[in-house]
Amino acid sequence: MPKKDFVEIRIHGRGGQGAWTASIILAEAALVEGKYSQSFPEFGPERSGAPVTAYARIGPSRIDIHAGITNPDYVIVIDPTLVHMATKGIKENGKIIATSAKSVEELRNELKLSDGIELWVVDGVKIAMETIGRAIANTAMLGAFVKATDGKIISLDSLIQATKNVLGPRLSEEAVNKNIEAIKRAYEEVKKG
Amino acid sequence: MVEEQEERLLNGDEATAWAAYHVEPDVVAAYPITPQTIIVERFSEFVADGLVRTEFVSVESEHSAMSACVGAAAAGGRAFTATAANGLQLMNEILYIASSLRLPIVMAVANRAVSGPINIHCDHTDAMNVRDAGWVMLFCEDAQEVYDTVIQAFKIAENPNVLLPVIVSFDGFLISHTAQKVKVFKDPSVVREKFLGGPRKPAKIKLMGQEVELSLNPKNPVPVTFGPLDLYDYYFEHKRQQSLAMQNAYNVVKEVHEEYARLSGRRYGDGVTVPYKLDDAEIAVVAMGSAPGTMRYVIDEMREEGIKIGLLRLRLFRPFPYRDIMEKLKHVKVVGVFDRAQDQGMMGGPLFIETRAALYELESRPKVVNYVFGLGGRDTPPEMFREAFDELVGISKGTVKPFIRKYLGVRE
Repeated sequence: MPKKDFVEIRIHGRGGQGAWTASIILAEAALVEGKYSQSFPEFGPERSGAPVTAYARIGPSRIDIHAGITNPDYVIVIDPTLVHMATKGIKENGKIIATSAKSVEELRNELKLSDGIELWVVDGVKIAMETIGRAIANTAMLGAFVKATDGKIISLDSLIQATKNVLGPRLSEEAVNKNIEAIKRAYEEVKKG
Repeated sequence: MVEEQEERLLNGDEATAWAAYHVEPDVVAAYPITPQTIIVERFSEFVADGLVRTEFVSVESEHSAMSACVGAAAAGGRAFTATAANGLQLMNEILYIASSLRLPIVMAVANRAVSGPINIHCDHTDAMNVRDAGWVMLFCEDAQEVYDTVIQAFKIAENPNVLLPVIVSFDGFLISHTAQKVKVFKDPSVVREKFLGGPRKPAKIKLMGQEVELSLNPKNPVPVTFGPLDLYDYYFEHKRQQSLAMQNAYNVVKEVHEEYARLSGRRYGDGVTVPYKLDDAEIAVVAMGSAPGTMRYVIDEMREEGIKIGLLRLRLFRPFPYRDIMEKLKHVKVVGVFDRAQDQGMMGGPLFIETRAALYELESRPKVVNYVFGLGGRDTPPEMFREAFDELVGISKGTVKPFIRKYLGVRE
């Protein structure tokens, strides 16, 4: 008996910035909490530097839907130049979690957001530069996502555990820890508008 | 007793690689092709990490991949490969040879549209193109089922009453690249030893008064050959035996599914078909692959509105379960068959034609119509299925004129 009790998340980034990895970490975090999840990339050839999209579904019960996500509840933007893509199809009461050097107010005006949509902004790229040393804001923006959703989709602890699970086999322990630092900083610094 | 398992986040390709890891075939020969590539990548990591002792053969084409599997299986080994789309088409010649030599090879197919135009996304045209090649064919709905089915496939293939190769299909990208929670056995020996009974044991046959192993085993007291010239004297008898083996596969699929369920705690209908809310249904939809998952949401929605609609998912496509279709759909008024495959020059999609033919045997037949959908990875949202299901309701009420075939989600 399928239940439609899941949320849908879309992530915008550029090839090489880890948008797909971010969606895998989200799905893994759901698993850590005993929830159900799906993670999938924009189905197509991956090209370094080109805009790419990744998706996730998270919920308390089995997720049997096998179709694209066109009306996400949450949109996470990990590259500041792609923020204009965030509003496409987003639910009326959706949330956008974006990396930007701009203030929340400035970005809100720029995107002409309707009242129902919450915008959360943090300079994830700056945090990534200061922690990881590379302009890869995928993990930082997941920290901001957890704050923006009040830990109700996944908790900060689950996110940190999932980051270790997913990045552990790929990166050095030091690099994983830097990503966790980025997560915590973005969690603290993200602003709502 | 259900064996201990662990939860992992795996996509359909990774789930296939994990199944192959737990089976530990003697030989894996494969050539990469999207969307199957992750299977071969992950499995080669398992080999490199020393988790399996499999002979991993990197070949130069799919034709060679299947040929290497034929050699390995003829030598008595357990052989596995994976492919998709054009790769499967390139194998075609050897597919018929593998089945006629009665070699229990297992192959995963991440279903993808066949070129041209070039398209890497999901439809079932690749698998439908080889539906007459004498392989047992199973279609999975999600990554968990892929893991379970790849393991089951070896036991089905190696059953002495079957001895046929098996294709395990799952939707490219929609399943192959979508990660989900998958339970895998904690101890691979549950699969290798307990379920499969250790290494493959080739069937024994009587030859020139002696019992020999049906393999190219040099220790055989009488040498066995595979694939010699076989003209009008015996070819037909061998084809007849192959047909019988395919018939036998039907029960074996069910038995193996049940035996595996006792270890895993997971069942997919009876292993052949997976009905959903069909018992009192007046309208039924028939489909394979991942679409039935999405369809169940639509069926629930319509059930809440009081519409008696149900679903029959075919897990087994070859041998075609026509008796199950007759039995499960005999009481409904309208059947909509959903084909995710090309239908050019045909009366409809392959699933439609065979479903309709099965239902012809009934004294009182439902109306059967066809929808071709999702070609080349065209999205399959619930709203699209709702539109078609509403049309089926209209046919049952007499407000919509019945048709033979329609295309769903296409710009006309």
